[in-house]
Amino acid sequence: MAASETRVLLKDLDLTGPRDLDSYRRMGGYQGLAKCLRQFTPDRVIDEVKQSGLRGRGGAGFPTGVKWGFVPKTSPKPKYLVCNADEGEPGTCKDRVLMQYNPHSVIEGCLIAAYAIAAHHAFIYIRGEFSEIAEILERAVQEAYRAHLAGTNILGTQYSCEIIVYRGAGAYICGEESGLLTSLEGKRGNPRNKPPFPAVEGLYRAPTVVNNVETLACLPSIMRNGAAWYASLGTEKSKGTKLVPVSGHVRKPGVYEIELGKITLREIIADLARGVREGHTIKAVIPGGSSSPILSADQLDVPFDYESVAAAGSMLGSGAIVVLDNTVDMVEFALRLAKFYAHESCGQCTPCREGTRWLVEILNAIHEGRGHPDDLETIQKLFETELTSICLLWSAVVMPVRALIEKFPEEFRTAIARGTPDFSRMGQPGSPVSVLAE
Amino acid sequence: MKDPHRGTVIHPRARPFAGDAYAEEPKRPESFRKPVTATIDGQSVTVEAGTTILQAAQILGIYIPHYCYHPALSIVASCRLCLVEVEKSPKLVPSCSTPVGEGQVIFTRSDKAKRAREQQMQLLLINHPLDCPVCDQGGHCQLQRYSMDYGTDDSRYRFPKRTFPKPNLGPFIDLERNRCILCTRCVRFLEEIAGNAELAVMKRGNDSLIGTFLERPLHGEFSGNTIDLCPVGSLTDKVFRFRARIWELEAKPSVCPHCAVGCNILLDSRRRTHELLRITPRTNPDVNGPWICDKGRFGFDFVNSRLRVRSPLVKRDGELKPPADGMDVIEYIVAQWKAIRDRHGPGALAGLISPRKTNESLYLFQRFFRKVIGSGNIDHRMDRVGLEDEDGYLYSIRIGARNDPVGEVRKAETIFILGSDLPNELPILNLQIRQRLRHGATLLVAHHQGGSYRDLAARYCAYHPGAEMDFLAVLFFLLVQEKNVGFPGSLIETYRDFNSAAVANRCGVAMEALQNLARALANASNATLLLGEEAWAGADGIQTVRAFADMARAMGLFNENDVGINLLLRHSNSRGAIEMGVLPHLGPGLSPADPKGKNTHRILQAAAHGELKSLFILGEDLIARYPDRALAEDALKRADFVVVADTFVHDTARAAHVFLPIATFDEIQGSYTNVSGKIQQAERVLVPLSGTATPLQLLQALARRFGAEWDTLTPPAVFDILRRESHPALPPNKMADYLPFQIRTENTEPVEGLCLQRGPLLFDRTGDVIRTPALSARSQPCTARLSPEDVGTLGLSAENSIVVESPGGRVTIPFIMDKNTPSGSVVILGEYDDLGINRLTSRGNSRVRIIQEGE
Amino acid sequence: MPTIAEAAAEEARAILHRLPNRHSSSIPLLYLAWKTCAWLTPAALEEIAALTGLSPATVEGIAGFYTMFPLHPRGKYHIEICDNISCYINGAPDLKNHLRNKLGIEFGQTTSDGRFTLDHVECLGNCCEAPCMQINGKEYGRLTVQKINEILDSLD
Ligand SMILES: Cc1cc2nc3c(=O)[nH]c(=O)nc-3n(C[C@H](O)[C@H](O)[C@H](O)COP(=O)(O)O)c2cc1C
Ligand code: SF4
Ligand code: FES
Repeated sequence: MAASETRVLLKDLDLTGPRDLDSYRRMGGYQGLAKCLRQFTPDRVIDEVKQSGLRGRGGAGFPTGVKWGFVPKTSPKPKYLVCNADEGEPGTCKDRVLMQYNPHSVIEGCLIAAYAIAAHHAFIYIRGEFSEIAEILERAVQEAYRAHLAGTNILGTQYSCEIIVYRGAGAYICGEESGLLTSLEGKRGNPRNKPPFPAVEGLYRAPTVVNNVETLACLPSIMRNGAAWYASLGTEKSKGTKLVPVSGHVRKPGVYEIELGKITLREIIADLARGVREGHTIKAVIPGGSSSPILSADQLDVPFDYESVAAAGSMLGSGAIVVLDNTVDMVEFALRLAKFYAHESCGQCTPCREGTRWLVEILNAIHEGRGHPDDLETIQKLFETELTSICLLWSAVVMPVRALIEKFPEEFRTAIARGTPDFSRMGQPGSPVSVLAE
Repeated sequence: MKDPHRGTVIHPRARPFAGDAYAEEPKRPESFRKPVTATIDGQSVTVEAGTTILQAAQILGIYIPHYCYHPALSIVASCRLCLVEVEKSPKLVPSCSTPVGEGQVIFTRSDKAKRAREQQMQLLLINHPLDCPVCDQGGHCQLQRYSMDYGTDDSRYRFPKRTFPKPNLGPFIDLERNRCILCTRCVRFLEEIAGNAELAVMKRGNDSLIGTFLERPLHGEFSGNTIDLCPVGSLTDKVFRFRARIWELEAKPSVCPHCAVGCNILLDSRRRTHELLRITPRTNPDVNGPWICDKGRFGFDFVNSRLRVRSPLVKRDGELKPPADGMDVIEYIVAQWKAIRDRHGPGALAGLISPRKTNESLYLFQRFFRKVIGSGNIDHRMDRVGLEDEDGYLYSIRIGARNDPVGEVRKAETIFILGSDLPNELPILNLQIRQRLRHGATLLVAHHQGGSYRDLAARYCAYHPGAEMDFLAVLFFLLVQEKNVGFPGSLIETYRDFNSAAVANRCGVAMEALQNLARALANASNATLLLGEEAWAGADGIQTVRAFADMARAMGLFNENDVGINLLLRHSNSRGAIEMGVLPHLGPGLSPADPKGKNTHRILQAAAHGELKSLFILGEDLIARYPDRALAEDALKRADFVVVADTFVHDTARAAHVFLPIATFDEIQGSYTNVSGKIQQAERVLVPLSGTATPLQLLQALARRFGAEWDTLTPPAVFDILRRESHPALPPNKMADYLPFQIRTENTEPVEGLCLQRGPLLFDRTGDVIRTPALSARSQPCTARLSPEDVGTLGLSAENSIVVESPGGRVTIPFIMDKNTPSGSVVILGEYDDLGINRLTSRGNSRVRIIQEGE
Repeated sequence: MPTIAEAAAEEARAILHRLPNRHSSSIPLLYLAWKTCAWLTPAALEEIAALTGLSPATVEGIAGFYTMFPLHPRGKYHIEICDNISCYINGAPDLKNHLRNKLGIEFGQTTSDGRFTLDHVECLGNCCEAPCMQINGKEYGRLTVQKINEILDSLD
């Protein structure tokens, strides 16, 4: 039997336009918030979320309730909630679906989280390129304000919270939470050293929780249906459902929702995304966004949950699956990845600013047939600096490129030995590229 | 007089690396709340919680290399050079930003830490041009040093290096971006300390570069400090560039000659070529910290000028020429002076000396006139017209004013400045104020026109020019009400029939603004009050000081020793000149003068009327400086015998009968007393240029020729004498009660024309500036600021210059429309010796007419 | 060229009012300046500096950090084609070539008639629609040469 989706976040979602406030409320929307505000203390909300087992969907998979618990209760400073809607990890296009088609689920999630940490400002930091989606969100926020679901005395209670949609303007690094906060402060989006973590010293140096869109969008149903219900989904350590955008060489790319650990990577690709194109085979799969180490075709029977993917030597990351078929030249692919990270490095810290460019130079040389026998060793040495940078962007390029070299060493060695690039396998008949040939 | 050797430790010392130049000593715990103990490289250390690993290591004498960290700046931890290993921590941690944790075991030199350092060094060098042979930083470059100490010799990099375009940042600083390691010290300094973020990181990632807005030249007052801060050769001194290698230089401690704060500096000279080549700050936490302003740093090349006069000049056939062979100029001067004294009495001779000379010179100058010539006609106040001998500053000393602005500002939480455009007058004090503001202090400012603090001050009041007294009268009135201290009996007379609204209206400030200011002052804790020269030196100066002191009293800023008001001075030894008694009515230590004499204005009047026959002017271009230029010109023209001693031949020198060339500040050993009364010693760096003499040598030669029994006095010997004699014997605080002051009540009649306001400007064009190429290039063009209304009424067009005209003369300059200038006023800031702006204020004039050029 | 103060004073005030910190307004104000001035002119940057209390250099540094902000004038249509992994392996390189040839300009350039500016961008966050692009912020996915031709032809 073919594996199938388990829809919670995407439940009954009509993917033609945004769900408006009325229909959102008809389907139980804002009941979770009402329950929190009327029945739960903020601490109780935090407990519920801890019990639900919800983990951050932004990449690191950190338990959400635990993160909230780090916010110092005694701090006299204001607290802030920030929704990370910067979705920029290549391959990832899941948060946009939530914001585009169910914006109120994100807004309700923000309010629940803000209430739990006693914040009176919630920011939704959305990447600049999502201009149409930002408008949808902004309209939904206005709807919420008009219905007293945001602003002062929400739902007639004592609780007040402003919601501000803040647009980024083209910088992947602003998805990194501390870079996001500096950007939100109106500066260059330079990440900051940690500790202190944002929960202690974040926006305007005040305690701040940063959560991914998907993480926050899980909250309404957890609050409405109870932590136990949510915890019943998924595995022991990976609870609930996860959005998985599948892209690359598959026949039916798209965003799917699966129950964590109950379906394997291979099933997702084969059953949900309908496998690769006729006449092609899977060469490798990126399981969790471009920063996650690549898995080879024989590693795909791994259940899709945090622990299993990690055990396979990669990470679940953002859950974005990119499928590469046998047409892909791994040297070229590594170069493409490296260029992206070099372009997105904020440039403040030495290893990343200098390292990303050096890596591009080397990979480019190898790709162009100017490779040098020492190159792989040089890369390896360069990668020793992986953990010396301020933020994880440098790791985010080291990890996948290292994996590519480890998994496909002969491709790199041949490229170096060959001296000239081999384009023969790109653009074969059947690939979209071939259409161009005519 | 305080012990000069107590304040500043003065000894030449090895030049510290910029990165280490200013370290606030990390605190070892004694009584504070939370000590933490950790082990660094096997040694145990206990420090205050929050101390970083780098600082704790410093206490143990363990040096951790770093580029981006600087103790005076915020921490970004971006260079990653200071990474150290902490037991149980999976990653290396940046020691500059990581606080020591209790019980931590830290290794700064473990293999892992060393390896990481090597790697960062290698990464920093891959794009570095390695052009050390032509780099000015060579020899004191942190990149060179760390490459030796922490780098490896294997570079695996085999690709082209990244290069950037080279901008022109103006006359002071050269930016070579290819050498930049993006530590952002310069950016942070300008933003956090100088308060003007003129440099920023532009672009992103590997393309990141340091730049100014649209690559425009730097304009701030403190940009030079970025040179010291730059650990590599990216920002270098354009003035010093290519003139010498650092090891050829000899550094000696000195004191900056440009303003009354007296920043501590090091003078770098090369004896072989008799050149002063560079000035860098010498850290003194009590005065300038590790910083100096650009004027102080780059304003020295006049001492190397070819235009310096190298022999005495004597007027023959209306022209100054070297003396005829065999002529003894000193003998000649003394003979003339003796003849005048014999014929007209000693009162026919007068001496004016610049308040920028050393205490020793000032002291001997007054002693020479009083004791040798027998004339009391001496003064040092040559940049203002004062009819009375006593001025607000002297009065403030009599009432026991604290007069320690530099010290007070450092700890104040509320700073109130009245009547000073501080950034242009005492730039370093301005820097200190900005630092206080960063730490949460409040700035309150009242000034007569659009001063520099408009954006920074929590409250800013602009009163009409000359209306300080009115302003203060209302402010005091409101303050007393706010403070609820009860109206002082001694002031009831003063405030009889006082209509606060009318007086506020007269000085041009809204009652509400005054009320807010009064409230802020009333609620201020730990306040300091600063009174600028514009306020205390005006016609109402003494009244202003009295009212100001009353304010301090109402605020509780007084005790039996002093009154918490601080008057500001402008020149590098203004305070010394007062304490040395270079005044017509006061001798050393403010003792009554013997004999008494005339002040500058009276001297010039007397000379212009032919009653005073001879003038000796030391170290100042009187004609360019004196506001009543016509009077100064008349006086010098009419006098029988004028002796001028200075470095260059200027307008005043041309009016002299004898010109004596003197040594420059770097060639003189001596002491200076700063605005806070701190006496600081300057060493002689170069011997006086041949043919010139120090003022001390000159005065002694003159005295000896007069037959005075003066021993050959060295500066230290003079210092010993003056120390005994010139300590102001102050009465204990005599401010037993509020001091009555007078409020003028006359309503000024509307007068023809516009009111001319002058004020200081840091980068103007005085004689020394003109002869210092870098400063000259940096100097701002002389402009007239006009209100938009007046520009409209006068129908001026921005393309053309305007002619500003008064009965005393006219100048043609461009104008700028400035919404902060009150209508009815023309503001011309700065001294422009080449333009002679003071023509306009001749004969006490303050009214001008403006016409568009060409009309 | 209108200034922000002339064209959008209300909006600027609203932005400054809404955010808890004046500096935070810089990015929204850059958007506003972009809208009112068509690109981020030096005058606009200086105006933003004055509004936010940042220095002009800092504002330029901020604008330069974010790739979307136009520090130079752009054509009427700004074509941004995604070149990141999902699009790349789905044929973006050839589509890029096609655009170059069709418009006769290189990436980063503007056609001489000022109609088109061509840029390639990193991931647009629309990977399931790869290969994709945006024109003036409007998204287009599942591109082919034909589709690109149709889209460009439909623009006036
Ligand atoms: C280089 C980098 C890029 C990131 N980009 C994103 C992103 O686009 N969206 C996101 O939600 N989290 C991103 N993250 C993760 C965030 O830093 C942060 O962990 C997350 O927003 C926390 O939310 P969560 O706990 O709900 O997952 C990124 C992290 C790194 C290191
Ligand atoms: S790792 Fe890269 S992106 Fe992160 S702070 Fe350093 S330079 Fe910036
Ligand atoms: S000195 Fe610590 S990272 Fe630069």
